[in-house]
Amino acid sequence: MKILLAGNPGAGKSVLFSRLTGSVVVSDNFPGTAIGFSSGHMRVAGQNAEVIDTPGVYSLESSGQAGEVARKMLGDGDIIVNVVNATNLERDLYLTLELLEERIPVIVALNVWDDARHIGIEIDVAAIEQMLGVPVIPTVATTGQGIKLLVESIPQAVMRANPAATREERWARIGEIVGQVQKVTHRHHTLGESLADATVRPLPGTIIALLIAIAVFAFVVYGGEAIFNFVAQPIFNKLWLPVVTAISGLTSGLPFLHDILIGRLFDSKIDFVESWGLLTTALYVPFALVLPYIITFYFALGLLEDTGYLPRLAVMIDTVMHRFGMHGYAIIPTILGFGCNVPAMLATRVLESRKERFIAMTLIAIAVPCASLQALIIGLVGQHGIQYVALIYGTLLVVWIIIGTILNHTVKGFTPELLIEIPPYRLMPWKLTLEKLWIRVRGFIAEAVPIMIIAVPVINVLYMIGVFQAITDFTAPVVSGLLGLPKDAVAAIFISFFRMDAAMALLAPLQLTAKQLVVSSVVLVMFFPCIATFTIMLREMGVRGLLMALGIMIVSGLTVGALLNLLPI
Amino acid sequence: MSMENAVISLSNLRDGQQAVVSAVEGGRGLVEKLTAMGIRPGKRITRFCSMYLHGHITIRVDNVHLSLGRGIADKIFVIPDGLTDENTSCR
Repeated sequence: MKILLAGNPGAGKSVLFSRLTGSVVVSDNFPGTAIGFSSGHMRVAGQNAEVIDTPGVYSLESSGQAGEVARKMLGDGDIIVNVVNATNLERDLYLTLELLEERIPVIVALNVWDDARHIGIEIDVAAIEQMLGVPVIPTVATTGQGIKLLVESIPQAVMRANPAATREERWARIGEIVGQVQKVTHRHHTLGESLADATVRPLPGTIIALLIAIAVFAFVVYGGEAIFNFVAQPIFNKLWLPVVTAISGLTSGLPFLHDILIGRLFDSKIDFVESWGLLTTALYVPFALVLPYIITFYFALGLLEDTGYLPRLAVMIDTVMHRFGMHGYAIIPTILGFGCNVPAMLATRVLESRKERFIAMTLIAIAVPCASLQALIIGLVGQHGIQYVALIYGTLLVVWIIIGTILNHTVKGFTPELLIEIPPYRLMPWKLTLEKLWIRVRGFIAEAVPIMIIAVPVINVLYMIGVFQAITDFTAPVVSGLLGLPKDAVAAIFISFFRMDAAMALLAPLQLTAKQLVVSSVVLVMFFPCIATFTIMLREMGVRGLLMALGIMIVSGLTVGALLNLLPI
Repeated sequence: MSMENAVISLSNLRDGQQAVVSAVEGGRGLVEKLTAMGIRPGKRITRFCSMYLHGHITIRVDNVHLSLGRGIADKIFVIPDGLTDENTSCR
């Protein structure tokens, strides 16, 4: 049996989906982002059923990707659970009436029931059930209220197959239904609502946005540092070091194996960053140096997504983003890019025009450092002083602004105007926020660790046979002359194509000066994206688009690197 | 005819003023999308707030806040009903 969840954007389908199936969808309180669909399983009346979360649409006639997907999926479902937002009864019922015209059994989950009562909306469930002719179950997906009854009632779904109505007829019918079943009592604004409103007002909204940005950045940096100091570092030094030291002793008679597993020794001691072995650097860099920041970043992002702040930010920043040829929505992929550029590229799909998508993707690839790179910037550069970290981020911001302005005036196409629904703030269950964090952390580990494990010995071997020496000598004029870096830094830039964190491990032992670190960090960020980002950009923007983006990256990366090298710091 | 009953575009409504939608112009796609989001003739809306520098306008329809650009607001025609919402101002 196939159960489809259908409803308007923001009706709470994704949370209901996790309630029904016990699995988490990485979605957010941000209408229209779930363009794909997710499926899971649940038990209904002793039987195993497949549950599918369809993209949110206002109407089955909706144009655009989401509408297409929703229509297609409707064809092969057995039962529809129509999720209706009780605070938006009138608008949400339009889709309900359309669904009731289809030849498929429907049951309605009247969700966000608690909020509806709080804001003074009373709905007569028995009456609406009678008028629609299908079961209607009040639910609160975020707390789980009503879910059990909903599951028990799924087999009672009714197929109406009402005769097809015109748009006007449907709205007229909705008017009748709402008039009879809904009672709204006027009520004054609560303090919470006034605060919520403040975040979309120009002046307080801008101040709040800045404060949130600072708070998130501080949390990611200092929280990550704390996890590194109090968890990661002790585990590696106290627990793992004795183990690898023992292995190092055991393999000392087999130099090749020792080089691969443990790597080089310094004063006959292992250095987790510089030894460059499978059991040392290949594990230490992803788990100790990068993972702490991945955890704090995705935790902060999860909170912003789940509470519903992100769309408000998109609205606040729309005017600014339009100057760079993008819709306010583009801020979401940009923020995602600070975690990993790959999901950020995918998230640009919420943008409608090709122009916007090209600009957003190019700017993310050029000026938005992913968490691995930021770990490098904060960890390595930060040791020399916070002013150098500020210089790097400042430079990237200026680059973002300049290239954005140029692209806005040169890329052909249009930028659609803002038209967004601002969802109310919601408190998600902690469990869901934490599970989402776990899915993302697991995703990072599954991606980063295998590549590091392959990259470390491969780079080791390339070093041994002198390949890097050749590349290094070839590019020396540019790297040393133009950028002022030791020519060995080219290996890091080269390796960054495969994995940003591996690049970091290569830069660490070079004893760079603060200025050289600033230049190499900025060049690493701007120059080439990693191979995963590269692949996804190719898929999303095509060969021509990718070549254009790469051209911009190389030219701007070298220019900015050379300019920074001229700075008297 | 008093000022209250004249048809004006949403862009010309003042922050905090309430009005009833009289017509939505523009392409089929836009009209459909706005209709689905609750902006259709006969609906009461409140202009909630607007961004400086000629930025977007935020309105309330039923229990939803919608933000839309000026170009779209120019295509939505409303009749102010003379009421203002004390909860709605830009301060």
